[in-house]
Amino acid sequence: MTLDSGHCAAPGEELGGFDEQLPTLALVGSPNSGKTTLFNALTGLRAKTGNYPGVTVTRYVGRVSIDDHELIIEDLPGTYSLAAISPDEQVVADVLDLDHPTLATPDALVVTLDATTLRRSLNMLAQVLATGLPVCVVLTFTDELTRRQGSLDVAAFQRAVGVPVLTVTGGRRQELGPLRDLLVDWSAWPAPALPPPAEPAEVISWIESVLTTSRYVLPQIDERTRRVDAVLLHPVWGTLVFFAAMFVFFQIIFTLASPVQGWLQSLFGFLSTQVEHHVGNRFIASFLADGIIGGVGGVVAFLPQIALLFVLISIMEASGYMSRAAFLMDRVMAKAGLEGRAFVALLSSLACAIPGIMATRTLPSMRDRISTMMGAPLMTCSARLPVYVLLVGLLVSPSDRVGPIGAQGVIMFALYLVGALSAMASAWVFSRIGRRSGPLLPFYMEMPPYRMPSARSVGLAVWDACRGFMRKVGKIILSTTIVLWVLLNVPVHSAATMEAAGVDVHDHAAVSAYTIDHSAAASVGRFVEPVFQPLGFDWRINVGILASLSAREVFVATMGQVAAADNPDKPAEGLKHLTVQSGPRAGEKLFSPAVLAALLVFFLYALQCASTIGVLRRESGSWKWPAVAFGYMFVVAWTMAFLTGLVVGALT
Amino acid sequence: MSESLVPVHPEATDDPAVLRWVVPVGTLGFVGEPSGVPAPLQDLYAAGVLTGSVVVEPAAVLLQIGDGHSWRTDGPLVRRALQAALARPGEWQPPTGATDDDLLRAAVDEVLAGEVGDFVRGHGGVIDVLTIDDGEVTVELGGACAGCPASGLTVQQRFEAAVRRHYPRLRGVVAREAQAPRRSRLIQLLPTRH
Repeated sequence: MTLDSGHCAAPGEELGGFDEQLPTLALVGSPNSGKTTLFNALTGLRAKTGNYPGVTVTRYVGRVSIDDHELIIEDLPGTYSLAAISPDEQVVADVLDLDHPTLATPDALVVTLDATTLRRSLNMLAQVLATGLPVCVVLTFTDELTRRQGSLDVAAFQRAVGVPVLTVTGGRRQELGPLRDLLVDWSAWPAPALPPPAEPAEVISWIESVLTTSRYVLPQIDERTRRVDAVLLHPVWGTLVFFAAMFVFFQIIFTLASPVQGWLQSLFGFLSTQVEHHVGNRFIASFLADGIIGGVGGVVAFLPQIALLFVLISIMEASGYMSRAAFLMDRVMAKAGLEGRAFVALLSSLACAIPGIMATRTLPSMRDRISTMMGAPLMTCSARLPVYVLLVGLLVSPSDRVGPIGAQGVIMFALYLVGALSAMASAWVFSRIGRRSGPLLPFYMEMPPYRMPSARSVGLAVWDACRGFMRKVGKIILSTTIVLWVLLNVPVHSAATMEAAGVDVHDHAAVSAYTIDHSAAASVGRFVEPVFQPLGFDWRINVGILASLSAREVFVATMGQVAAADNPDKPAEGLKHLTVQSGPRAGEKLFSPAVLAALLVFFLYALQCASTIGVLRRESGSWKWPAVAFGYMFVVAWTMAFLTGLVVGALT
Repeated sequence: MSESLVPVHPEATDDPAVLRWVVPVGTLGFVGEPSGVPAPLQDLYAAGVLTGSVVVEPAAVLLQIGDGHSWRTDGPLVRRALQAALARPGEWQPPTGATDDDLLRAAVDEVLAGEVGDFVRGHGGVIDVLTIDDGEVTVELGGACAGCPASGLTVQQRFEAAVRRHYPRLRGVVAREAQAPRRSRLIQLLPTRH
């Protein structure tokens, strides 16, 4: 299982900038074979990502210069076989197909084989050798093979497979030297005199013979892994540990990330004040201070939380714990008639619903795919995090406690839990509708031994995620924010009109407030007011909700703009003290506990993400399912928000 | 899956026309050039796909591709023929006058030419084969091996184990030290009293 590092990057980006004339070497290997570690070690951070034409499988390409030679290295998706089942595997098969019309075949292949699962990996090596391309083999995890009392005669193995074989453990520098020298020499690699057979029985015979000759001793089941698994895979203890780990994490988000977030907010507040003081033109000043800094800055301030979220996700994945979590949940899911693969897809949605929806491609039945797709957007994705942090921060103060534990973390944990349960419930309901009763297909999932995650791989995942977040801020959020600023500031009112309405034209805050109250956006917000009135939302929240249809974070940006108009120095304070302008609650605080709780629940359920709708359309093949998803989620969101508002209103 | 095939894989030799087909130890009960091979292989010799003579080693069969043929194109054909032939070990005719001890001798030679021999030579030792009789090998340890307290370990754990891998019916290895063993250097440094 692979979690995409998350971001809803636009598919179909071209990989420009690399000289097509340079020799290209592709890395081929099964998932978890250390392929990407090797790729990162070889190329450093100079990798480019994009997509394969026609499919949304991420393509990683990097440039390496060794002495005076330049090479292009491509990291192909992990695959167990060239007989394709999933789109990922199809990409590898197509790239290695010399006759494929659009994809260029690499000049040579580097096959990574996990020494601890050599028997299975040799099947793929046999297929790769049959392509006739120059091949070299990199054996990985040989240190683990030795630690688990396995062994392999590497020299005999090289003789048996007939191509160069090197061992590289965890991308270690001293072992990379020989590999880099070998890569330069790719045109001189020996080819096997006779490629391995293709017929299954003959392949088995070939593998058996190669392993016997290289005196391969199968590694023992890792004792550490076995002991740890006895607890972590236990139906009761394992589940408890899983929830405890999650719980601790949400505490960490608030205690560790909040100070950094505070600094960022102060920085943006300072910048905004500076702009107000130094930019003469009132419109430009408002655009910069309220629009750009108030809006975009408000979202950027959540970078620490995003980074922490991905630290956790990548540690869970790299250490091998993610597979255990999926395994644990598989039992629960199986009882509901869903398969473990569906949970893997749901788990991927913690980063972003888009890789989650992509992951449903591993499901063999279309009905299971659709039902999982209908649930995936309910998982708490990283885009909801800023909205949740903002609203939870308004709802309870950091000093509030439930017993000895911070109340903010408890609420956040509850939101994630309810999101996950709702996603599973929704997938279950959709799988029931018109389901043909059929046996569940067997679900195979690799339980990799526990491995210490390398700081480098965790760092890279976090870096990727933050870069993706900032790119999203730069594109979608910035453009939506600019449109919103315009809508919040037109039509322009003359000083005379404002004085007639009793506004002191020399008071900036009063002028901004008047402008926003009478803006185009306000008209739209008021227009939809009847829909959200029962939830206690006023037109300002409505504008935020409408704007967040492009991306959820925009809600934070909108609230930032509205509040910045009221209180440019401290938008967060401004937000806290916004009051209801009309109706029975006029004069009361807008963000009452009931409204905040309703908003949280609304965001938990509503499908406020244009990218997800687009992916649903592409993956399900019609507009029907995205329409169904948007419709049912809106109805559930509205209903649940209404009920939550009632309950919280009655309690407070 | 149909029936399971005899595990084989080809390895290159110095001669590009000759491939060493590694086969499980003990598949064929002899070494040398067989006086007759089963029909599937014999047919390929008749068709000129294979040429020269078959050479059987304890854990390999050496085959030479015929003129005008190549391993890359005809290899799969040879592979199938060889596997069919190996499935019928009784139809291989051993060289005339060959005994089991010839097989054992070939196994011992292979071990001494390979990794174990390299290890012994790397330590300045010499292993000479004195006799091979009815499944029992007698060797003489010379050079640095003579008098070395670790030599017994080498013979048992390395040499004997390796020979047994190539010839599972091995009865045993008897090691004799070379005549007039030198005393180890450490003892020579000590004062001697006569």
